[in-house]
Amino acid sequence: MVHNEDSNVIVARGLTHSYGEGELKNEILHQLDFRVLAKEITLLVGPSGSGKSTLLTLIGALRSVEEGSLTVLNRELLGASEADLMAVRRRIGFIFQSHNLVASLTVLQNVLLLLQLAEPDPSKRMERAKDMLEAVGLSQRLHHYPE
Amino acid sequence: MNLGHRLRALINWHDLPLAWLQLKRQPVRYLVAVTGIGFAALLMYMQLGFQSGLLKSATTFYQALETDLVLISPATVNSGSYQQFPQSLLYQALGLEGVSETIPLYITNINAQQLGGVKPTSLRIIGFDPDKKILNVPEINNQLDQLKTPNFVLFDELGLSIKTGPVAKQFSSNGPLELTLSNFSSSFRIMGLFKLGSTFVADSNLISSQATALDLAFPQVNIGEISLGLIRLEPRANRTEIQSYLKSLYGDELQVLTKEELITQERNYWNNVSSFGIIFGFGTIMGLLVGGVVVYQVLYTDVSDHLKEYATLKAMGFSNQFILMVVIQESILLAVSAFIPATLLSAGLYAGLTAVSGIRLDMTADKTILVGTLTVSLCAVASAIAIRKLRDADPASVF
Repeated sequence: MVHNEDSNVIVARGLTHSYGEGELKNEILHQLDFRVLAKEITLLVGPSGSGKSTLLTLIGALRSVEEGSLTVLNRELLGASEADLMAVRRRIGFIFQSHNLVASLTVLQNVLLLLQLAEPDPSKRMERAKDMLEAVGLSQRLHHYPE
Repeated sequence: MNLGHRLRALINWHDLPLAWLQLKRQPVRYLVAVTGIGFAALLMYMQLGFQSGLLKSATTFYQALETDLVLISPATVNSGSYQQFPQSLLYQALGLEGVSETIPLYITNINAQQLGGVKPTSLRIIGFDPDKKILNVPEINNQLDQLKTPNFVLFDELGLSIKTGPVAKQFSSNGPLELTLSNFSSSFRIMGLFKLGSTFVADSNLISSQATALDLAFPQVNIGEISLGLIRLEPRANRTEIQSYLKSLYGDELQVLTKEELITQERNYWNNVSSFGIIFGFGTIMGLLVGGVVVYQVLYTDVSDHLKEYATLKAMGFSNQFILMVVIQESILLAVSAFIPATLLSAGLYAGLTAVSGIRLDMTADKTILVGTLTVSLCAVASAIAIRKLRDADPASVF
């Protein structure tokens, strides 16, 4: 398949990651090389403890890259500053195993909170939030709390 | 980006008031926190109120004095216990050019009661020549003629009402009334009321002629032995020069003070030398500590409870500063929520205590600013300590 560099969304070269130190050091990822292209759907499968979550947290800029190279959305994450990591996080949609919604905010307020990052025009946030919630069938539960 | 831009970027009025919504969602915890911080603010208000009340009551009499210079014994450490000095020393000042008159004052405490009526009470008697107006209190000056009759006195109705309230009450309903010294050696008749204010050293004040003061307070005061000497100057006299001359004249035997210096000396004694200043200062610090611990506990628990949520927010791209600002805003909201009712309650308590004790506790702007600043500061410090916990909010941990 022919592709150019611009279509790369994620590129890993020699990506290595481990937990612990000294004798307790446990290498989870070793010299990993791969790329993910735009509009491509990639499934990551493997046994428990194989490093799937670690790789995802590295790609999601939730964890700092220790060794090798990892470029996400054209940003090199090895040695990236907190501001760079934050910028990458803002451009990635992440679904966590546990939702961790802000319990003190209603469904609508939770979405409005996120739109503080995604929608720079405050006057459009409410409409967008309601549209988004309607799209997933939650328009009747705008003012309910997560728990 | 300068600080102003950074703050504007962090506090956007279009954004959700997350700090307020978090507090509001847990009303019981919010109420407990506000009560705790409010109690701390109340404690600080009370300590500061007592301190300023003490200082004010100790100097009310001096504030009302109409004089340019005052002679006082260096052995007199406060207005509760005067060391007498020879009246002849005061007369020496009369010979000085620029001095228009000198007025001797006899001041001491006496114990009096009314059998079957007023319980034994401690009264500060201030005796002077009734032909002179020594105090800037019109109610006293208008009744000076009555004092020319032996053992006729004026009574301060702003005294400790628990002890002396019946006196003013009886006078208002039945007219003049007679009190007897607790040692039954003499008695005096109250012929009028005035408002000066009680002190920590007596339940109330009496104004009398010097002859009456000598009669009632003997042997604490003796003729020719005075407590204070007032020196009034000619309108164009140079006060500084005369004070300087008198200081050299009296040397270590007497202090020559201006009214302002006398007030400052009295305030310094109660504030710095006596144990009162230390006790009230300590009480204020205790209030700060109590409030600080309460806010810290509330914020620490709050941060711990929301740690996963904060980690998720960080994972979504919110900055550390955003979350720090939420915690700081919570602490400021708590401070303000507690400060307002504490101020109102303290104002009510001040009024009640003033009515009961006769010592004026005023809710002044400087007290409000000081307690407000301390309350917000302690909340800010407590939040600064509590947000160290935020470092535990690792975005990777939400997996």
